[in-house]
Amino acid sequence: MRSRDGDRPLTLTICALIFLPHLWADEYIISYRAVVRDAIIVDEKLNVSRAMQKCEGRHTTSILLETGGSDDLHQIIAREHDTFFSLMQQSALHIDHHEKNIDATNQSHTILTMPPQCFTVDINQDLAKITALK
Amino acid sequence: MRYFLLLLVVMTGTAFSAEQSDVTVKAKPAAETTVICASPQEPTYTPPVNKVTSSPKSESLLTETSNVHITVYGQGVAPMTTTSPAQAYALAKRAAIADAYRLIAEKVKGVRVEGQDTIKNMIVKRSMVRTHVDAMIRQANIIETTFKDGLCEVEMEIVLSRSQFAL
Repeated sequence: MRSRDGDRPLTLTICALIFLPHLWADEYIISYRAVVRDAIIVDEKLNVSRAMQKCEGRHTTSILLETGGSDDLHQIIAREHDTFFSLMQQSALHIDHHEKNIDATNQSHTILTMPPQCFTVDINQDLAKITALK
Repeated sequence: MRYFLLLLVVMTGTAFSAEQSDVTVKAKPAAETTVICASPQEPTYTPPVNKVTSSPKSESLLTETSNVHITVYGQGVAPMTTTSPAQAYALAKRAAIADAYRLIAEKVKGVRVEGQDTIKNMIVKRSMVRTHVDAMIRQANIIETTFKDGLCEVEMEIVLSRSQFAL
């Protein structure tokens, strides 16, 4: 069986379509920080930036997020935060909690942080595949 | 005469010994009183010691063959200034997740506790207790999330295996 445009076999085209996106997938450094004070979230920050150096490590867990027509990874993750959080949970999250009780009055301050970590992101028209690197 | 003298000596000896035994009997309560009022160094009274024994049935131990499941329930509250119930749910869930991570860290790693009381003229002026938890947690899973009356509760679980701690 041959492809429509000539001599190139269709199998080669299919293989290229499957494997090349993995080679050309963009790498992003993503970090997350949430500040909770007295059981109420007061600050949340998701930092997304392209990796300026090639990330090293093997691919681990992947998730698929709907892009909703956007190619901005920050928006895509913010739209489906819960799904992305399940991916974050697989990597290490840092918890820093301070609680102060002065004369029977309680104050608590919790910071949940995901340190900057490399993810490979492959955005198609409808879906974005995000894979954690370890 | 000789027998009379011998009898006299025997009677005197008996009377003396009886007198001695009387003194001993009288002195006995005094001796007991002395014992009661004895100094603490003397081993007179030993209070019963309650030995604290751990109950292995109530605690699950991490062994080579069995893992330990730790389940916590984190709670978070929605802020007052939310524009929609969905936003309130999302924000309360974030706070609940952070609380659940804190609880897991407390159980697995422990809590640092610091206390300070200021007392003046035998009256507590200021009492302060500080706790601090600092840990890295990986592979915790959210089992269930419930949201009711502005309170979000997240059930979170982590599985500890011995291989994670092996060098």
